[in-house]
Amino acid sequence: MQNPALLLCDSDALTQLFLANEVRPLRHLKDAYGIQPTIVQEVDLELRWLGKYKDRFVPQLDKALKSSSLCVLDQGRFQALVSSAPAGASWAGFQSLGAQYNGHIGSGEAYTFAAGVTLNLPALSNDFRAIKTLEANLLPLPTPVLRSFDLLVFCQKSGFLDLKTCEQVRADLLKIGEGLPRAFMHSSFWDGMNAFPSRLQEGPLSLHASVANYSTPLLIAKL
Amino acid sequence: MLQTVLESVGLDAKTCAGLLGFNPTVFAEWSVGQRQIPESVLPLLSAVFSVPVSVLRAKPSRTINDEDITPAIWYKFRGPELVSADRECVVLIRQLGHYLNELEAVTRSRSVQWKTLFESIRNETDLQASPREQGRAAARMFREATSLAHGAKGTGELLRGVLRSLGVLVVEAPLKESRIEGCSFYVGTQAAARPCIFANTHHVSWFRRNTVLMHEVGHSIFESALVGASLDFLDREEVAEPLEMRAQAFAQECLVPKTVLVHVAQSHGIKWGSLSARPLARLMADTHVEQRTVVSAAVDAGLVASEAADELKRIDTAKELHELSSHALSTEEYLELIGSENAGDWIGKRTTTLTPRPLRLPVGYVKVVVDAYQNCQISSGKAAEYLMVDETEFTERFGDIYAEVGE
Repeated sequence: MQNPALLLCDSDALTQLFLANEVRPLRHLKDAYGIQPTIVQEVDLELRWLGKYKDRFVPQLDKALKSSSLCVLDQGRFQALVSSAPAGASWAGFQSLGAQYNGHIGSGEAYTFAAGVTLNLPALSNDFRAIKTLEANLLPLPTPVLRSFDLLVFCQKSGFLDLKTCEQVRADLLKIGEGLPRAFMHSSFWDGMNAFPSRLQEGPLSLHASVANYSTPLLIAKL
Repeated sequence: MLQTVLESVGLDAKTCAGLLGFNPTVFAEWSVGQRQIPESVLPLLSAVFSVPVSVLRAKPSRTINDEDITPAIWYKFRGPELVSADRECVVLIRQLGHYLNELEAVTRSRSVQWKTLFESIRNETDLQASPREQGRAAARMFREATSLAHGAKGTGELLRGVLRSLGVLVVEAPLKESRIEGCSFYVGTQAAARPCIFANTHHVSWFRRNTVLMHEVGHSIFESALVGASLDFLDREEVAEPLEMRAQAFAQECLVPKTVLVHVAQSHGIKWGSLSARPLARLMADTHVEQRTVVSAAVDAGLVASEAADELKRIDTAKELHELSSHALSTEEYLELIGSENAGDWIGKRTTTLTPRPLRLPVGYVKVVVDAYQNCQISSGKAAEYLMVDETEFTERFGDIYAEVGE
């Protein structure tokens, strides 16, 4: 099987990469694995005005969009993926599912997850509470849902990011009170990696769709 | 078309963007048609500005007349007596109405009892009768159909709950720049409309506010849906306009019908012929309404001579009322009375912080949001959106149900 065409990214995961000023993992996924990091329109909107941060991320977002490290899932891009998506996938169906999810969770993650489910693509989101809420309401989730630290760990293990950079990202996020996975809360990046069940790994794809869930590791291969 | 809609509302794109939590540049681009409004945002804009989604989707056109798209409510709120603060508050309240509809859809708790009740009151009221008689008849039906008629006692502590259970959105918040004392209008899109009543709490006592709220309910039953909104101002004198007379009669009869007045007076041995500050304050404390309304109700019930009314309305009851009712205490005094351990549940937890203009949300609304979160029906991020606060602030205020199971 091929690598997924897109990785659908949620605001909170991108926020961490922007806060740490480290968006190279997104570029690496695209260049080395052919996986285009993508945001739905609702995430684009959120990142342009995000709670206490207001418009802080606009320059970084625009730069990432301009360099194609990120792209927006508009209707045209969506249609191009429909042929490889599960039967019945449609823009209207995606919008409808997004609206349904949005009743339970914020719009960024709602439409990100809805796109992932509709197109059978993985997502990137740190919002554990949103995942648990959708689970509690018996609503399907993308398989898998990666976290920003899955990307960092993956990039470190594959040699794309050095340990010092990853340690710095962790330290920067911790300093500003960003939520980290439990394994990294009181441990260095290096120590945390050993206790962190990474959801993104390099290797031949062996995932069986019927048993996969949001935490099933995604195996990807270099182009 | 958004630009035309904003002009009709009397607010600029930057202000609206701030109120609704969007990037001002993006909002400005939407308004002039430089950027397409995402499908997911259209229902909110439609509900807030009271225009159909099709109007928001339409391209700007010179052939469309402003008067063809300006919703009735905004004709009222762009009047000369109103200030930007009024319009901004209405935008926030209409956003709240939209959120409440979403929340009720997810929790399957939608109440539309107001619809049948309001309709039956309108149908059964003799619209040829005098406005005051219409108001009184409507009030009697309203009391009978709800729990307000039980017990011949004051209903100020019940009425908010009763209105909420009917599906009415009740907002009480300070709006110090405004001259509005109370207003009523409908919120939500046409398919999911509900009445909303607002009372300005700035320098308005709880006793007065009870009258204001029921006055606005009176407007809401009879005409708010037709005229867009009903507005009442702080320095309003006794008015002789039929619609105001009807609403005031409705409020008075709802809150202090003769049975309640007589029962309270008998319970405390109050003599109607010799009312002084203390018995008058007792009547206010137990009927839960302000002095003016108590005296008017007593006159209308034939308990007090009409010639004595003006003098009774001028008696200073502040000190006595302060002694007799905890509702006359200041917030600080009330907190001291109930103890800080009992004050922690809601104090400081109802005010929005992400909006440029803080809005104190209704207790019932906050409770619905928090219950939905605690029942795992909505995430903390969604709950924070509904309370217009940051997610971190939400979990600080109400706790994190996933704190122990986080990854």
